Amino acid sequence: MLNSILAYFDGDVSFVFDTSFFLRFVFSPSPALLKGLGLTVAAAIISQVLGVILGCLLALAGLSRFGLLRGCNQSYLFFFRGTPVLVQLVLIYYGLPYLLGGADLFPPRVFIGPLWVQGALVAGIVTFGLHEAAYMSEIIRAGIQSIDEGQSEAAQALGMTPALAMRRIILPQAARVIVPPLGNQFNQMLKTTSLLSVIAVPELFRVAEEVQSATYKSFEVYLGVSVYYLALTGAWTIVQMLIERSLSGSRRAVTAKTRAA
Amino acid sequence: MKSAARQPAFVECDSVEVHFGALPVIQGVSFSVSRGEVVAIIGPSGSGKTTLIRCLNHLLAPSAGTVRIAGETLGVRVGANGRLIKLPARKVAAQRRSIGFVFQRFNLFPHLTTLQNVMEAPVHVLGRPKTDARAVAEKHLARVGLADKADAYPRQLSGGQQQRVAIARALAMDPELILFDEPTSALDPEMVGEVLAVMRDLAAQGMTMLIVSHEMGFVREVADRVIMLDAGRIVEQGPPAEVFDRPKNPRTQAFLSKIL
Repeated sequence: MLNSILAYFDGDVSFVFDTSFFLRFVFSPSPALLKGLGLTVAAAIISQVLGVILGCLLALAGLSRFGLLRGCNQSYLFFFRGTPVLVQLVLIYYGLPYLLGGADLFPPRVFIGPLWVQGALVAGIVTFGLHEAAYMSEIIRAGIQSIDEGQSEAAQALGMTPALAMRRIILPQAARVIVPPLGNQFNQMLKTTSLLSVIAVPELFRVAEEVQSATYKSFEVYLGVSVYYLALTGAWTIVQMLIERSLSGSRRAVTAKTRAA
Repeated sequence: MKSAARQPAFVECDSVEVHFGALPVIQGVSFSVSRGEVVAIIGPSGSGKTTLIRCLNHLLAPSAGTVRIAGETLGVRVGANGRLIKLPARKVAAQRRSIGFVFQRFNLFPHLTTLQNVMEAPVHVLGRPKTDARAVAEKHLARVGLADKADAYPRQLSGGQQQRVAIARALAMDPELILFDEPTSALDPEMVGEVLAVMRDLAAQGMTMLIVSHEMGFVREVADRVIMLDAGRIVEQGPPAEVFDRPKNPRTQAFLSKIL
């Protein structure tokens, strides 16, 4: 029944799920697919780190007593939360070099540190980092604001400058509030990297699309690539759980120790 | 009372005013404290006691008037045309190093152990080597009777213990003056005594102290002088025996008759 309906929409070719192709795609991936997987993970991690660092600076700007800095924070958030990340990606990849007078900003190969990297990948990481920073800044700002005013007063009363109080007293406490939503953001980032496919970065989804266009096994390929993304996000969920447990676990361990003593 | 005339004033509060918006909270308060003197600030709630003591380490900048500690004006400097210019945060922070402050709600750092709480500022503000700071911190924890709680976190301590750690934390900076803002008001009654005992010791050892307190028995015993604040003004001051037993001002009489 299902096959006949699919066959109707497909024209003359009747649809049969190619199980052995699917299993091969998932369980004995080509080197290109594995490389794509690595690229996806690397892009997500670097973008997220960039987003956290920039987000921290943005959060501090948002909490500043200078109106100008708060204004910068507001406009940044307005733009980066108000436009789709896909649009930001093409805007930066195609638009930015144009804006800078046709400079070859993202050439096919850029030398960064010990690595040759595709320029489009650099554009992608920059975009995702900038986009992520907007969300991270709100998460970090909320984390900082959740800390009792008395903490910063006590730090100042001990002769700490506001910057030292932030670094030694406020941020370490805010981190506990920030970690759970940060985990969600990274889960999202793992999936957002698939957008790199539109600017020809051979990450996981791009490689899968290439397999699809060579074999026309659309359903098998897209289901297979979904399995890969599930494996990534599933693994991350476990890592996140362990991180959160260790944050609250140190607390329990200490309590148990002093009770025993 | 030690004579303020013979000793140079250590704390000088000069015509301090604080306004929250249009609301005047402190209205022209002037007084001075000599080295080694213990001064208690009393008064009904809402009289501006906490606001005033927060001006004395510039946690709150006065709207007008100045506070000088050891001759140095807090938070501002006098410019060429005689106008007051705000000091940068770094300078204000440096001025606070020698002024201890003990909060009503302790404000210990919950992510640090007791010992780390006490070591934090000596290491990261004064740049002392960790081994030295640890020795000093252990000494002060022992002084407040909490040597055995060095590795405990604040949430594992009772209120009285937390406040004693907060006092040790202030002492570790080797302050010349300690300000206490209602140090026992957030404590269960059975824990008030242990905190007052530590403060009594400090007073006996000659520490200059300014104390906002409702513990009149303690004030009478320990303070050299009592300042009675009402509606943001000093209405009466003098030795505790005088203020408590023969209050001159009707507002002082009314306040004391309610609480004694």
